[in-house]
Amino acid sequence: MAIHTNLYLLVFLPVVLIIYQLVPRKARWGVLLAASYALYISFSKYLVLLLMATAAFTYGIGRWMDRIGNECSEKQKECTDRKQKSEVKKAFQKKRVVALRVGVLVLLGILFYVNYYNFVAQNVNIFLGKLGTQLPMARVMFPMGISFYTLEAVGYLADVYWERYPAEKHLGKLALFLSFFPQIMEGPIARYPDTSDALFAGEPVKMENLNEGFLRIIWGLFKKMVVSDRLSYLTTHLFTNYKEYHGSFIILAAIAYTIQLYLEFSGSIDIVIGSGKLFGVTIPENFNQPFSAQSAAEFWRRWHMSLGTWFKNYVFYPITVSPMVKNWNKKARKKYGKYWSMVGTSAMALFPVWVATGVWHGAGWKYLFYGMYYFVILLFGVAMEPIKEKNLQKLGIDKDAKWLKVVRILKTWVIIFTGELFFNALNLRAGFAMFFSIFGNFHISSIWKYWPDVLTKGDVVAVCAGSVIVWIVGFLKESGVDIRGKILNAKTPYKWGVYYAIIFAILIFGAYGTGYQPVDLIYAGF
Amino acid sequence: MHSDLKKNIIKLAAFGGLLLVILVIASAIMTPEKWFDENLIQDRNSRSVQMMEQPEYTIDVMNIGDSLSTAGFTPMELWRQQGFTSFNIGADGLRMAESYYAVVEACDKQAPKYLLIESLYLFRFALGQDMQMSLSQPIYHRSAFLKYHNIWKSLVEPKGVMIYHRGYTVNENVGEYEGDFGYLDLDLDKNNRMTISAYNSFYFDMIKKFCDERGIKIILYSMPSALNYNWERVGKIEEFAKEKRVEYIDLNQIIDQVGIDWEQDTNDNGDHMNLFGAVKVTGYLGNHLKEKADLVDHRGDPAYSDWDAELIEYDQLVEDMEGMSFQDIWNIRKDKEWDEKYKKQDSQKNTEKTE
Repeated sequence: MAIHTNLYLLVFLPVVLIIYQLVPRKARWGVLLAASYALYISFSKYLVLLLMATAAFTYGIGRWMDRIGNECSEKQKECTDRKQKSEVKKAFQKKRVVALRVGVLVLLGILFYVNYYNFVAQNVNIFLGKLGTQLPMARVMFPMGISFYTLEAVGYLADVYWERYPAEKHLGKLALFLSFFPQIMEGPIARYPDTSDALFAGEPVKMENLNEGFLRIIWGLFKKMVVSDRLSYLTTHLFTNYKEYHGSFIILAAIAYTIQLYLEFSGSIDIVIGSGKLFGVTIPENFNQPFSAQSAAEFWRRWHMSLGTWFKNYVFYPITVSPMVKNWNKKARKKYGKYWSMVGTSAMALFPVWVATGVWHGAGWKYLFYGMYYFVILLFGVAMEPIKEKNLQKLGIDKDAKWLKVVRILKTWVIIFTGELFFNALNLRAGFAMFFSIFGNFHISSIWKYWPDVLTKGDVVAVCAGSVIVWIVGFLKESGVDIRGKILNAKTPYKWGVYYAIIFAILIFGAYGTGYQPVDLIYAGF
Repeated sequence: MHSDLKKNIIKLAAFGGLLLVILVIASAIMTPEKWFDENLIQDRNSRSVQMMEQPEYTIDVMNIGDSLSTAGFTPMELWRQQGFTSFNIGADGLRMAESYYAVVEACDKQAPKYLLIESLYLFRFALGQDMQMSLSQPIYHRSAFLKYHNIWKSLVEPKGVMIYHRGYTVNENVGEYEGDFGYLDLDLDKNNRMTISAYNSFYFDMIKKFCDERGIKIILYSMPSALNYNWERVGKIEEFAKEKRVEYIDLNQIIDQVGIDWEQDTNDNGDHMNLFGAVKVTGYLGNHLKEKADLVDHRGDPAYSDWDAELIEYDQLVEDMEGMSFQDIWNIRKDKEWDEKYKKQDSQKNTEKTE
């Protein structure tokens, strides 16, 4: 029961909402937890046990670290001087590191085994085959949302280790944080303080939350059903039959897939955030007009923000401040100068982040390439930044000139479209074949001439109209107009008018109905 | 606080109520009979609208199932051979909930004597997807507005190129089956479901109850399909048919009697029948129905003259289709239409000039 289906929206969500409101406030978190596990069982069946075990394990490790911390404090009380205190802290810190390492290794180990073992074994076997031996392939079922809840659990343990907040004493509360039903399929990856209090507070259902949540849900459905799901027919066709197409069609495929992915992922995140809001839970945002970004780095601060933030907090910063990198930086500064040490340090911190970002999306060379693609572009951006500024000054160009912003945005689009071309290609080889075929036979006119019949004229009209509406709303938001706030604060007839307009736009122009296969959520597979 | 809650509940009820009223009114206005030109209906709904447009109480036999059934049974051939009227009400990838409502809708103004059910879709089941169907199908059944919501597409694009003859689309493509002729002994691909779910059994019971109440006899049959049937599946259907007390015919066990030639009669290497296979399957089922002796041969009856007229069109299409796709046929017909239109305009201009 995915979050965009009528079963979820018309049955599951209202039923949970009613039960939630009817039970006493203290028991409401239990309703949310039961609903979360029920939803999880509906698509991953007995693998819910793994989700439960993850919660129990994360809870145990957190408590273990807390206990070590408490013991440390007790011991420190017995100390007479600072030096002694510091030594005690060091000794206990070692124990906490062990606890953290056990926690992180087990959590990431499960993620690795489920997601990547077969991929690694397949590639290792190419070499082992020559030696007459083989690694066995594992028969594993994919537990829905494992990439999301594992990162949340690891983030929680790291934060507890760094004493950003104490370990949770209530197992149910932590279990609910890791499994909250709107978030489990597609994220966003929250940090514990983001949602835990609201999840546990059992706030009563409020009219303003219902309004906000409802508006967010129908807007997400509009994005997905009117535009994204229609585009999926075209992109599936073009990416599967890429050998039959060249030039302009490949560019069309890359652009269409980027739009499809954005509207589907941001649309489903709208549904997630809207669902949370109904229960008074504010789930963090995951998108912020990514196509207004003027660089690849800015794009990643606006696109899948929760993943970017996670890697920044738990990979990038720890590496940057690690003694190894600090030492290297010091030496490099003396030997090669400030500029090259900065580039080197950036490379050392960015490389693992982008390897991880790439493979987080799945086991495959194309995902690794996708990560490396952005690593190279971002590092190039870091290296070129001082040179670019100098050149602009030399040429007397205002770096904030509007035309320059447009050029930067267009350049960023090209980077994004190219990245998504490889991301959605059947495999890395197909990605390269598609990329090079762009230059082989480029004729814009061939688009109308050989337009595949998987997307009819009517579909194209719906896609274009829907995209323009989404773009206008995004443009207004980027310009500082709080369009959602304006709708929510409007008088009831206007507000209802907007609701009905969106609902009927979905009912009339949405891709649904008998014989229509609902398009699966792309990020639910990661 | 209490009055606030009351106010909010009233507000929510008013919002939902108004939405429902708009939907009910829109659906009442947008019924196929009142509004729809069948040429405006796209895709999957074409068949069901054409079914609704059949003259009342004229269909003797209905055939339902997934693509195996619609590809392997041609009503025009049944008419030619036996004079029985029939209609394909199935659809590609049909699921049980959808099939129940398809039968209910098709029988709204028809009283067929037989419902032929192709068995393959009994094995199709995915909990999530089928639960969705259970929820959405009754809504579509009651709301033409939602069921035919795609009709706006007809304003901006030409009608689909498929040509239906009482729910059958001619397909002369030959894709030889090169596998083992004793395919019933083989294992099917692992992705194939081998059991009939309780969910599907429940909907089958609903169809049976509906048919029993109207005196419609169900014949469950398995279309020849080398890629979809083996002994395990056939055994399951036999058991199922016994339990449900319906007649079952497995055409895979009597391939020679039906006359199927796996080199010529399949469209896609042993999966679906093509026209040549469909003619043979229809012929066999027609003879079987004739043996029941409770169907009337309508040939020569002026009330059924539209069937004779359509048979001529169908034969013409079969002739035209040789080596061509529906797109080619559609283009040729469109060209013809344009030629006639221009000829008409030219002759009008000439007349005006001479006047």
